[in-house]
Amino acid sequence: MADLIIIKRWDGTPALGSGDVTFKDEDFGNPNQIKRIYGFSVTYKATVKVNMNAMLRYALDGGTTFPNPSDYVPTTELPVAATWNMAYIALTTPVSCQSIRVKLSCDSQIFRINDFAIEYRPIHKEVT
Amino acid sequence: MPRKFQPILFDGGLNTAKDPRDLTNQVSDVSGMQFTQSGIIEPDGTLVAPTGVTATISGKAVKGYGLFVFGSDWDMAIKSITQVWNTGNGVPPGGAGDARYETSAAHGLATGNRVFHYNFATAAYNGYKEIVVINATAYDTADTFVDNITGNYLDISKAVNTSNEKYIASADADADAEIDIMSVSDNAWFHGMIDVGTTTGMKAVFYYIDGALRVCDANFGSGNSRKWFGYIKEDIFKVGGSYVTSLDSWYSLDADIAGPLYSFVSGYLDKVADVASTTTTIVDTELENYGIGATPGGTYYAVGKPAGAYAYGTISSASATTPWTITTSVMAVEWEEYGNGYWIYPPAGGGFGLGIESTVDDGGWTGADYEFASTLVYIGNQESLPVVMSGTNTVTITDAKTVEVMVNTTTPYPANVIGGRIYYREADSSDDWKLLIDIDFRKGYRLHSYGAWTGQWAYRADSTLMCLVEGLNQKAGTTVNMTIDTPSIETFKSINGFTQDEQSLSAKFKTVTVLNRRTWIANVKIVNESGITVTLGDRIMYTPSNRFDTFPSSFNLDILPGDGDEFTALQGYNDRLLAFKSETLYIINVAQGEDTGWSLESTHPYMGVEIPAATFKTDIGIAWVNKNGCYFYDGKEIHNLIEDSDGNKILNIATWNSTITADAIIGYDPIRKQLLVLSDCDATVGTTSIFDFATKTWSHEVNDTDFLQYSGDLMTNFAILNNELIIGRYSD
Repeated sequence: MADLIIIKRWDGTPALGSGDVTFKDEDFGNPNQIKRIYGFSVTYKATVKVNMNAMLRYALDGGTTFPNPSDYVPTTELPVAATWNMAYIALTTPVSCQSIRVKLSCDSQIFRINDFAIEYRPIHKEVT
Repeated sequence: MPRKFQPILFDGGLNTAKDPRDLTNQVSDVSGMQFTQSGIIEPDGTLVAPTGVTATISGKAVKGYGLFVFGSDWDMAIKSITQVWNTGNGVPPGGAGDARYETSAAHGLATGNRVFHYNFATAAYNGYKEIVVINATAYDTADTFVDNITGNYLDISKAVNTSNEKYIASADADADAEIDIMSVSDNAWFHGMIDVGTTTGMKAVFYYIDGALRVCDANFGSGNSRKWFGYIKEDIFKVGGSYVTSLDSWYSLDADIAGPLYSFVSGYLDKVADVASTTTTIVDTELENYGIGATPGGTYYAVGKPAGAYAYGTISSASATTPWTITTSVMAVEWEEYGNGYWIYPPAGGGFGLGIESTVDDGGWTGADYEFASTLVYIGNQESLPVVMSGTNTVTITDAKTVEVMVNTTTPYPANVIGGRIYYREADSSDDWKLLIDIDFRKGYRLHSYGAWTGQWAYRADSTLMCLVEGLNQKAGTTVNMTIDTPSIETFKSINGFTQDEQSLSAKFKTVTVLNRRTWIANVKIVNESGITVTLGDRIMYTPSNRFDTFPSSFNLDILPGDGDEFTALQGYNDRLLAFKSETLYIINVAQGEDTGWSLESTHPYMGVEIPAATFKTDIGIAWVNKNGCYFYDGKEIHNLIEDSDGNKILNIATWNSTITADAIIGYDPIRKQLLVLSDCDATVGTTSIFDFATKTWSHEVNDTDFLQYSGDLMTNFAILNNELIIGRYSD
């Protein structure tokens, strides 16, 4: 449309759309030790079901790329949640790493995150 | 060892300055999500239509410029024109060949009312119109009939006095150089309500104070001028018991405080025509040139003194040699038949014709030759510089006598002119101009700039040919001239606070703000002391208090002139003027009422901005953005919002520096207390970032396709409408 001016208003109310957030690169306070990652705990609200495999990706050991899908993330869905709901996303196979950085994505919905945690266990093996 | 849960904290928002491994409660990247409540990540917002505003407007925007919101106590009433006929297609009104605008219902308009036509395909039908003939459901504005089409008119006369009607102003920067106005309550645009000029590429900057919008082209387009837009409701020129002119309408007018073009003086209260005068010629054996000349600059009038009734002729030329000859239009009778003389009237809106003579009565005048100057006074008691009155000019006043004075003027004037003043001083001196008479189109006159008004207006031959008089001799049917026993010693300077020697009161500017009842402008284009038009990028100018359109040349601040930088933006907050150059910010304390008390409070290198839209006034301070950071002035301190309270960077400065361009803009959402930074308001490169004051967090890459997704699109500056942040999105 030629030479047209449309007035728009910024509405800060969360809107349907896509977005992502990438957390810190977590070494669990001990960069010299290998950890085993078992899964993730998330407290969330979602307006539509969320496929865990599409929502959660991770990079290991300081990596900057987030494979899509990332290994061992289940394809099951998080249910719709109008109120805060806590879910556990168990990796189908635990992964070992020195550090892990998680990226959460949402698409065409309103997805809110209140808490996020990583279940891990240090193993007696130093980083070489 | 047992399994553990390691909480991942993110309430600190985005941090791109630190390595992702070194973060504590922040995230290393975010897109389309925000941190608006502590401890929660959620999707960010979006661009939507403002409440009740869905109409679009055709126009060409310039990035970062052209949007403004203002409120008024006056509305605009939209009406429909169902058809345009010529008089052959129906009953009057309408003269032969005139377009007759037929309305959908009884319109309630009156002759002399003004309307604003829009939406007509025939351009000649659009714009401001004055109604010359009406009937109940049709009116005629003397437009020539072209075709039979429909459109709309805006009833801009006798508007309803309402409370805080909101309007959006949007600049159309094509060669028409117009400002379109939207009535928010009507969700309707009115194209071209302010005609700025003819030069394309207008960068419109606005200010609004005391009920009027002002606009200037910051691009200094040669064909564009400053404009004033507002509602005027005033009755003027009271003759007998009623006012001849009622101003009750929206007006778009020149904002310059210009002086009169055609004022003149004669040493006679009236002139006696020579016996050789005819129906077209007044011959006067005494040399008396009113400055009309062989080719008058406007339409002067000669009015004959009554012989049963006044009569007038328009003047086509005048000689300046004895006998002085004025050539007029044909009179019904010869000029000398009126026997008692004639008066000259200046062109409409052009100033005053002053007649002044000594009397035989004792008074306080000092005997001397005097010369005279006149001014025009605009809304807000804004007075032009004095202009020496042409014509005889030098008049000999008898010592210790009074003088009798007559003032003629021709209407109409621009609606924002409310009167004028006439000054005197000894001839050929450089004395200060002293007040002879203060003229008000509504109230009459007075001999000081204070005190009660007196006198009244009368007209001769035509209701446009006004005469200011002491009173009327009802019995004789004549007027009584004004008498001045002793002249005032008030000077132009004592009345206005600036001298008669100011080079100019006019200026174009690249940026403007209103602070402490003054208008502040910077990076100006003015006429300098040598009479040359120059652009002074280092100059800040300001108005006298409460005179928001008056920019005396000497009311200026030069801050580090010649440093190779120029002012780009002004903002005011808490008695502080924030004056931005491209590279440096200056904070000036202007709390004192007079400029002698103002001081440069601080200088902040590397905190300048490139365009006005890179700054934004919030309810808690001033925010701005440049390649070095995003800053906030809270009235006391400046905070770089891309750093934490310890001075550590939150955002990666190299990325910020490469992302933010010269066309970066900033806005503030007062509801969520968020800053929106658009790195470039051009579609090809712009990205968005949000800073949330509540959580002190950054997020970026707003998830909205309306922000700059299409090549050729661009954004205007931000503005606030009804407590909401708005912006204009242009598509080519």
